[in-house]
Amino acid sequence: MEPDERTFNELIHRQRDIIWRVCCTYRLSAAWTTEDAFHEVLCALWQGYGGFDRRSSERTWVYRVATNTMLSLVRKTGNQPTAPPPPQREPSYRDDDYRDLVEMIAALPEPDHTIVMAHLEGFSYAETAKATGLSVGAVSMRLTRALRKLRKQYKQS
Amino acid sequence: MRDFKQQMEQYQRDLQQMRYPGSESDLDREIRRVLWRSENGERRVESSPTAPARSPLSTLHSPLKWVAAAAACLLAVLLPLGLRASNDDGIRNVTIGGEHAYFACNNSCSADATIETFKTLMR
Repeated sequence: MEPDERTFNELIHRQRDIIWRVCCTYRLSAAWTTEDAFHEVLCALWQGYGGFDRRSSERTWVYRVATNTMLSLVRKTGNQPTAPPPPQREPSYRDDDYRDLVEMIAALPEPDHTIVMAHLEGFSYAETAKATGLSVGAVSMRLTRALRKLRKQYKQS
Repeated sequence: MRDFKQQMEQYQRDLQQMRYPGSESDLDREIRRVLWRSENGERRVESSPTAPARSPLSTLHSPLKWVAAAAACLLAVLLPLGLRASNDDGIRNVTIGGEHAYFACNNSCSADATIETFKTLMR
């Protein structure tokens, strides 16, 4: 299928927030800003757009391409994925706990980190499986284990 | 310490509130940069969606163009020699690429005749 610039433009406008969140989820070397990463993800989406067969939902496809692009950039720049900084909230005594949890999620190995982030995005097991290329069973098992590990770490912290 | 589940839910809410920070036109501009980059095969575009200005030298890609440019330079340098030949005995000795080429000019040797001679030599 010949990629259509107009429909691609519309897709990006619909999915821009989730693309941005994925870009924020992975911290790259200092030479890369989130805007640079966003640009790289858009390039990857455009390159793959002609082959998007719509067997998965648009959102799932975008998430998969964005995640794979970011993981590739992380490998190239040698940095580990990290969770996005939380938006400004009312300061409270609980914020240290919150930051600890964010750091624990960031420290999860791949693909557990991506699976947990997809879970937080509201993806179903089936959607996460399509986005990560794993089986539904593997996603379910890894998510359960990762959440158990996080809970344990959180209670010990 | 707040409950783990509560914290996860808070984090999920915070995540889902994160939005692309640019405007509609920012996003359109970004998409244009992507399409431009795709068409032009560039790896990274730092700022502008428009093609960077090309230097005149960047158009000299092919050997043919370099030959044409070299011939033009030769003409520019040797044309005055040809003009000065008009009052000589009609014979000029010109070195091109290490070889001697002789060509005759009669007493009315002109710039046009010199150009024609060099065109012949350059073929």
